[in-house]
Amino acid sequence: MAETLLTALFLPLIAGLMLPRRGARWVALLVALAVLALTAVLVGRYAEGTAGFAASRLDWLGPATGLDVRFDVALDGLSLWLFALTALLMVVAVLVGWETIQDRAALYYRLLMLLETGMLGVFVARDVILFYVFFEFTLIPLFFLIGIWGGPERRRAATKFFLFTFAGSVLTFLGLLAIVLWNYDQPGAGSAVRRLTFSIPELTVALRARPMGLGLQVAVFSALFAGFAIKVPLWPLHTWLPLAHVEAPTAGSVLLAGVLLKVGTYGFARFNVAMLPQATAALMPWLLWLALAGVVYGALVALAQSDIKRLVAYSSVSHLGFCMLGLFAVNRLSVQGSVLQMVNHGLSTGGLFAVVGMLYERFHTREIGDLGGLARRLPRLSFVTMLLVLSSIALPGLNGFAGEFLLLLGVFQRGWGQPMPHDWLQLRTIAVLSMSGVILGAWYMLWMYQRVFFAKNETSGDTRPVRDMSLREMLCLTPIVVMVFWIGLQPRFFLDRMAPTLNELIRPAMEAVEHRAERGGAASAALKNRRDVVVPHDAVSDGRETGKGWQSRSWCNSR
Amino acid sequence: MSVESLRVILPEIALVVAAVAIYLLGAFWKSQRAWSWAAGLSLVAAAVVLWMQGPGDEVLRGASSDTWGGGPFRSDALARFGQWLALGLGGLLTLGSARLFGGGRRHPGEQDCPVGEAAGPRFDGTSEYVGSLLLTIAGLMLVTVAADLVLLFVALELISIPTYILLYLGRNDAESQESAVKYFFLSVLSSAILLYGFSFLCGMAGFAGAPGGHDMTQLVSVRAAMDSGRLGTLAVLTLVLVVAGLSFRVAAVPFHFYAPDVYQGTTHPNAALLSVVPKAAGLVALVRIVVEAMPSMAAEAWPLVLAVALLTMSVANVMALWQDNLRRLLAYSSIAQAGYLLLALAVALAGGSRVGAWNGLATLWFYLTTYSLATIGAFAVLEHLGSPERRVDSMDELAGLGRTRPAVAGALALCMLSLTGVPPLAGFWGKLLVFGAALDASASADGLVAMARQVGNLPHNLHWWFITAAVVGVLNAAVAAAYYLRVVGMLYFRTPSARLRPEGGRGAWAAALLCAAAVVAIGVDPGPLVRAASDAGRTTDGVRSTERARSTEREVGAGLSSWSSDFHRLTSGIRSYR
Repeated sequence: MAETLLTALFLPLIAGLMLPRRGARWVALLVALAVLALTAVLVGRYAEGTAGFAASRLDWLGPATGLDVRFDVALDGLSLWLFALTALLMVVAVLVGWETIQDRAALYYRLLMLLETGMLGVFVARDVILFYVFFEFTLIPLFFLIGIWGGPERRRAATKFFLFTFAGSVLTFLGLLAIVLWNYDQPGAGSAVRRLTFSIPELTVALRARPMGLGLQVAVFSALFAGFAIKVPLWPLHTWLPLAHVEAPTAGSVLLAGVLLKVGTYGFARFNVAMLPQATAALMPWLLWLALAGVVYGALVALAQSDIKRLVAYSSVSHLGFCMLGLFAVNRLSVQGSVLQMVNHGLSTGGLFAVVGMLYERFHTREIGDLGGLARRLPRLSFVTMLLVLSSIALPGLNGFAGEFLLLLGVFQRGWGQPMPHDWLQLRTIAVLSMSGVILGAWYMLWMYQRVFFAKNETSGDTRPVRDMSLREMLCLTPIVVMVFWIGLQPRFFLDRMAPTLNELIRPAMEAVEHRAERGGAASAALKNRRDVVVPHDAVSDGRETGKGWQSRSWCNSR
Repeated sequence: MSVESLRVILPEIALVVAAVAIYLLGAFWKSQRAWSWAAGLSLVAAAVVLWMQGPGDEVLRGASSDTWGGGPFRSDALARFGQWLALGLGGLLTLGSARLFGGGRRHPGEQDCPVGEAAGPRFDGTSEYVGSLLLTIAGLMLVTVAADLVLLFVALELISIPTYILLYLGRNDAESQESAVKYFFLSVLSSAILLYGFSFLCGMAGFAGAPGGHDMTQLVSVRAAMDSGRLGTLAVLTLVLVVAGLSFRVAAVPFHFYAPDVYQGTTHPNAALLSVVPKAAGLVALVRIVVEAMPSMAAEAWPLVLAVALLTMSVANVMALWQDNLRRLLAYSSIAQAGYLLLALAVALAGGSRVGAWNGLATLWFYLTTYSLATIGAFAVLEHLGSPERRVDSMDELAGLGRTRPAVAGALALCMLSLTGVPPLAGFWGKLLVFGAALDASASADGLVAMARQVGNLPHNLHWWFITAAVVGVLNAAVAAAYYLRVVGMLYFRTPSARLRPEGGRGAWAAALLCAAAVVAIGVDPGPLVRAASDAGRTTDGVRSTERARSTEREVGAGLSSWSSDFHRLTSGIRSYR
């Protein structure tokens, strides 16, 4: 299987470097389909295990340099579906610009192919430096895609996108190096020789065995946060996103929303939650508030948009807020729901961006006010859009419901769970308020749909016949529609493959949260009963010293 | 010193002889192509000589690092690395300037016509140009092997003096004159400062009594004098003078003011040379003197170097944001990159090196190589895009080049992205090493800090300083991305305005291609260069770290006591004066 994974990873790279000038799009499509087929094989044969599936480890810098950076790739439950999502959306992205991209088409498809390798690589990298290389590498093709083929503001959008992301990710880089160096400083477990390792699984295990002190964890968490939060984007750091989404060519928007935002959430899950559990537990309310702010703010701003593409872009802010809410609630259900929601958001929002691109090709406008009554003129496109809108607002039976339901269930469980958290009031408020995101989501989406497809358009008397979806466009959206139903009707198939990895990944963070809840709850109860008892200082401040008590305790989940 | 030991510098001798021959014969026979070829061949000859001096050479072994042999030369791994680097850069620079003086493909009907306001037939200075170029390369190589203050100074001047000629040769207008004069005066001033520092070093060596059989000018004697720990304030003054004098070559803030003006006023090949060769020489000299010969001053040296580094990168990166002239932009870029290089040096001085390649010096040499390649590549592209009559000056002239000249634009974009530090290009690994080294230094410094606390209230807290340095460094990298991306955006996102006629010649184009290819190759497989750089860093570090173990204790204690006794002397002097 390792060969399959490597082929899927490098095929687009090779194609990107030597795509022919003529017929570039056909070759690009073939490569994207081949990668999708290889991914299907990988998914089909996927076997849950601790060692990582389809793993291959190759020397890169070599041990002789002292920096034993390796080319280390493998799939696990967290990365499997994001990897598959990337392969799937790539087919959509290639098809969606099939006719509109005429100018420098070969370069366009080359960049798309390079971007595919970068995105696939982020999810399979099991070496810290390799992860960062792919993480940053995705910036270059997308920078050019936005800057060359984008809308009127494309130059500003491309630069802003690059600089925002780069500025955050350099701090993430320091955070990653800090983890590696901290691990190097620890006395080796069993072995006398200290070894500098960049391997993500090894670091995860090591940090689990000997967690950092809380202060250091929070510092490293903040450094990692800088890059990932901008990428997601979390609420106050989202300002690059609407501009980049709106100005990017359709394929760029599809991939940006569909895959690249998930790189941020993936990073949070892989590094922050898995490697810095005590900091995650300590910062949990703050992070949840931020995520909630994104949910509500994104939805409200989306409500006010008159440009469909901007509306979908702000809906991404809101939906990604949900993903972060689920992840930071560190609860089995919420995290599974969060990862499933990442995939769902990629499908529905990627599909919506593709639809917006198709509308723009026909009417050369994205203003809601200029459109109207399209359901009669474009029945097939209207149907597909309806499906995607419903998937986005989580209609039961479609994919959005499976993810969002699990996610919110987990968030509520966090607020009402046992032992009762000492900050239960906050958590419950957050859980209740997060429901408003669902309602607002349905509001702006359906309202947009109603205005664009049903309402009669009085302003422009444009009744020219337009052609409905072509075969190419239907093929383009078919994979998304299939997945929307598949995930919606059989979420177990997807959850079963991700659950074991995720449960293992968040176990320390969950324990830390429950530990805090227990200690905090006990302390406040004691305080309530006997006013003269002084709360022991270490109970709330230092997770490391008090670590022994809760590690032996069997953790329970109220599920 | 025996004549035998001259064999160490055979490659340098070969280059100097070739340069002199080219100077002399060039007076009688003018040919642009032939002299360029001659320069290239002499570089190849020097490389062959260097290659034949394998590590098995008896004389070389005598001058190797472990013994700090008797002669004025050292041939350790750092010297080897520096020599090869110098030859490589020399080759690229020669290639990049091969068509500097017109020649090659001439337009029909074009004579040696007056250029600009300069009247008279154009002066064909190819032989002088390549001769001077070879001398600067020989100077750089000599800096790396010098183990003697006098030789070191001569080698540094061997870089400076031909540079004055080069600056005059490139162009023939008022701006060029101004830049040459500016460079000349400031360079002479910095040499004077450096020489003043050297005189103190010699004096201290003489005062302390040079160890058996060594001259007081030799670095060994300086080292012995420093280790004796009886020098107090004078040693600090010397340190400041040496760092200040060499900061000019490195183009570090606040000795950077000449760079933007001089680069703007000269040609692209000259700017490439100025941004690479003096910088490399200055850094090698800093390592030889401050790291190797003054290990007992490390506690005073690293805060100084670190402050200069942070100041340099912050000032230059911010200033670069407003530049529209390409050479000014690249000048600020080269200043800013000097900041990262000095950060690596500060790490080396603070002794924070546990992981081989994160050893500050290994980082320094790796970063220097990647920086040089990308910078020469960028200047070579610009040279290729212009013509002898018309240089590419402003950024707007690059508009839309990605459409009209995709290959050229691609090479320039690769160099820019490498300077930004985006993976998977060479510059990324440089940044990885520098920032990793800074964090490593902060992590490993706890021992030193604890020791300092015991002795007294030493104000330097390594831990926080280097974490701060790393954070400031990465934020600077993000700021720098803004102006590097402006160039890339100009290349690809604008519609072509005026069509550039790339007439800079195939030499510049070949140099640009080689640099871009090297940037990608090192980015994909950095292993070999990392190994070479760590070898170069390890030898000098080895010399130093054995010393450091002994000196740290004493340095912290003795440094403090000497400071306080100086202070007492000063205050009592003031009191008696009153």
